Amino acid sequence: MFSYLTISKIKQGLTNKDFSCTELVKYYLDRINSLKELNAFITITEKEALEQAKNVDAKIADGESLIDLEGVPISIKDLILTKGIRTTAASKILANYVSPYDATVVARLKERGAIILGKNNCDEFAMGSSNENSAFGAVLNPWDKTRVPGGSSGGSAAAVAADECVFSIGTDTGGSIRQPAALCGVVGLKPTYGRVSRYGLMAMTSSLDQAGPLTRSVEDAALVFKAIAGQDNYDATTSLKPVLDSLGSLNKSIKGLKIGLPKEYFKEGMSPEVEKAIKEASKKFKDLGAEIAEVSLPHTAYALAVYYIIMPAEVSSNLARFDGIRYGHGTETAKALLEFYARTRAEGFSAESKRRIMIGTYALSAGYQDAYYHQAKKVQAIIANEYQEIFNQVDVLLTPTTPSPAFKIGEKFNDPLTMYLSDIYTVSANIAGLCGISVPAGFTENYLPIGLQLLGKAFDETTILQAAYQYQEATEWHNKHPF
Amino acid sequence: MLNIQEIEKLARLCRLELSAEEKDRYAEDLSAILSYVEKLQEVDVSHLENTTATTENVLRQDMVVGVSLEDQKELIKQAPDSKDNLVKTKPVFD
Repeated sequence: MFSYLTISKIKQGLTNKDFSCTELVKYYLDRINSLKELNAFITITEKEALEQAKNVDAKIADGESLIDLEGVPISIKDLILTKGIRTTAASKILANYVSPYDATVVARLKERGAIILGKNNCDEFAMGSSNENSAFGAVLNPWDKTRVPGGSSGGSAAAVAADECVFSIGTDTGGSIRQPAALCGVVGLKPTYGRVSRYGLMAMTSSLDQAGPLTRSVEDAALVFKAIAGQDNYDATTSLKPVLDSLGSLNKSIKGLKIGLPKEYFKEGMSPEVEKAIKEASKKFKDLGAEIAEVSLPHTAYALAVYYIIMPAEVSSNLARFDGIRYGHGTETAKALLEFYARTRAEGFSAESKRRIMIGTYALSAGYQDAYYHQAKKVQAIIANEYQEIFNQVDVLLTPTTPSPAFKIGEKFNDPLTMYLSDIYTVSANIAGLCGISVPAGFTENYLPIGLQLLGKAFDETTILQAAYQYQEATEWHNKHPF
Repeated sequence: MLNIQEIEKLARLCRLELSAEEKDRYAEDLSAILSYVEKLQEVDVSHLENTTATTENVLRQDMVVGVSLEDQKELIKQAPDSKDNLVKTKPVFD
């Protein structure tokens, strides 16, 4: 009765009294408990969730109608602040940190009645593409437990794929929503920078970070997007542009929609199975009436290099706040202040965090800033401009989300550069300020999910959601589940 | 290729204590990453200025918003070490 429910099915079930909210929440808590091995959760808020469910049930018993997300059990990436609940960023340095306030995305979901089941495991401070970089252990891919779920929102993607929650909120700085969504066979939406408030997201790369939903269907992604998007006084980078009604457009035909296939995305390094799935998806879009055209984005090849300068530069600055004095871990053994900072950070940060802090500091240091940071910012402008121009020719871009399906745990962990290449198809959206979505687009022979990515111009989530929905409705991939 | 002295200088700037083994490892890792990003030098950017902001400034009144004593206590409680509702730190000199 409860398996793999969508938001609308839950609303229907609660309103028709097919099940109570308490039964529903208990189903998910049992599920989380029986799938502990996946390690998708760092904290479970059982008591609070059951209490909230009881209130929803009382409301239903009184004949009151439910607001849009009321009674929907969800989870939140542990990088996002949740008042009164521990928020660790999957780091030792914040292992016991309790958020003093709610992130705006969390506040908005709570206002709409969503029930938080717990906090999802992720890569430390959202830094990783495999969820192996967590102080709370790796997350396993529900489709194959010897493989990674992707990252950094790996716990979110695994939890959604394994039906441990209805949806999860993740964050995406270079692909951290879309890449794990692809590897776990779920939907992941990265809204345009400025569309969703970053207030209460632990900052990794302030100029690129964006929160968004991981769901099991495109219509759920559109619903959650509508709930969390829009201007916020607490985040001066949120846009004043009105949030358009993407839900109303989902059902519209994509006849005549111009889809571009950027040829630079189909070069070396892509697994043949992924390539085949994307080619088939492109045929499907054609059958649905879209016009497919090959386009060229010559500077795409530089996007990842741009990312690996700008991101660590901002990381080195953003993680400077973790000094062991105001919050988090503070070392016990230092006598003087300088020693205290250096040892606290040595004890609290993972190897990957240290690597990125050092790269960023190097790129910003005297004598190197022009060659690295300013050069990267200029190439970013060139890339952004190139994408802007492409969107005069086409409405959306179709690409694979990742070059290969989920890789083995441990396979790339000790080779940072190879790991970074997992984000090669997703970073451009962040670098160029676009929106993007990953949707299930097939399976490999070994039954590992493959994702396709649709990129849209800034603030045009409506079109990518519509195209994704039309594709979803013409395929069966989103109805396949790991167990 | 970064040498150990450069790594030590960086670690100082980053406020990170590193073991000898870590220094070797990061010298290698950082060098590999820096040689990957080296390809950005190929791109001709001579027509661009240093400022490449893609977002607009949003301004507001500079107002003081008070914090309740309760919230203040809650925030100070997060500090690893505190005394009399004040955050406590180590001495600057040993």
